[in-house]
Amino acid sequence: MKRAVVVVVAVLLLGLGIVLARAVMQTSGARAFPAEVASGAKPPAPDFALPLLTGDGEVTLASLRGQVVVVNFWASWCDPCKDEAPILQDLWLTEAQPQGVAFVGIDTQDLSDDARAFAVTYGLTYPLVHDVGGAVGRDWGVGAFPETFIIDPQGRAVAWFPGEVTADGLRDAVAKARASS
Amino acid sequence: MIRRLLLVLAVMLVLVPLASAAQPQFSMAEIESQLMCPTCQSRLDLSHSPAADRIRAFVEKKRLEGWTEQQVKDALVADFGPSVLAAPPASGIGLVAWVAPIALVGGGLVVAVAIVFAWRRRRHAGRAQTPADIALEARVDAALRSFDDVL
Repeated sequence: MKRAVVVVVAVLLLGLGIVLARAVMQTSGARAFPAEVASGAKPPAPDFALPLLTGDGEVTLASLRGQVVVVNFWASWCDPCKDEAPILQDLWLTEAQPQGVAFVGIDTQDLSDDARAFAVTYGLTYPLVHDVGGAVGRDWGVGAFPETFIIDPQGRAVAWFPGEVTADGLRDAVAKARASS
Repeated sequence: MIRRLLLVLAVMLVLVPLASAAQPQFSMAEIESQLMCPTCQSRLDLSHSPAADRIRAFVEKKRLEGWTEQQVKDALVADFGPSVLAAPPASGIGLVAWVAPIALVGGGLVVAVAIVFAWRRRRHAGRAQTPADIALEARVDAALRSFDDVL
């Protein structure tokens, strides 16, 4: 009888421990990725496969291996994202696209209808995807919007911009990522 | 006359469902307490973040269009995932949130009952009868017997 009680208590405590550990890992481990990037450790960027915001098809990070990739997390309700959108669009058209630098805008924690309207308002023409459920944003440790990561051709995250990017800052980071390849 | 009545009836049959379809199926207060703000991790009715305001506007628009509560929830889950619901779904991993408290309470009761039983058994086993107990027991038995005789 005593042994059965001990087993029941142990199983319950184990279950509770697993649930708590999951919750702690989801909250505390999430911001580890940007911190690693900021430290210069060049961690491998978590892969993603996300549906395009408009039309069919999806974008995977793995399919862009060999290119410098600018990954920008945004949401339509975010005010700095509105200021940043014309900067990104201009850099994409005038510099990134001609130089073979890939851009991916990941819309997360957002209504997809609002996101599509945002893309039309700001005339965004680089690939935009929708992070259904926000799982990719969590994997990448995105805590505020916007956030931008630069991925080198080997798939390593080499720069992180919390908040709105500047054209010069992004240009420099892309140039460094291209030079490191 | 009958033909006219039938015509009116037919028009009513077409219009009544259309009218009821556009009627709000639920109240904002009701659904807001069942949704979470995805960026602030608090209930939608307690949040005034920009994301919460956008969700609120979406829900109100769909409510006025006659969407059901479930349709609105499904649309939000498609964009934000199941974490947008304040109560987790009673399926998949969400089932754990429903079952775990019941299992914990049930397990706690089993443990409590087992401890009480073990404690009582130990108390009975550990306590030897003293001569005073035996004498008291004999006196009680005698008293009960005399009481039976009187009756």
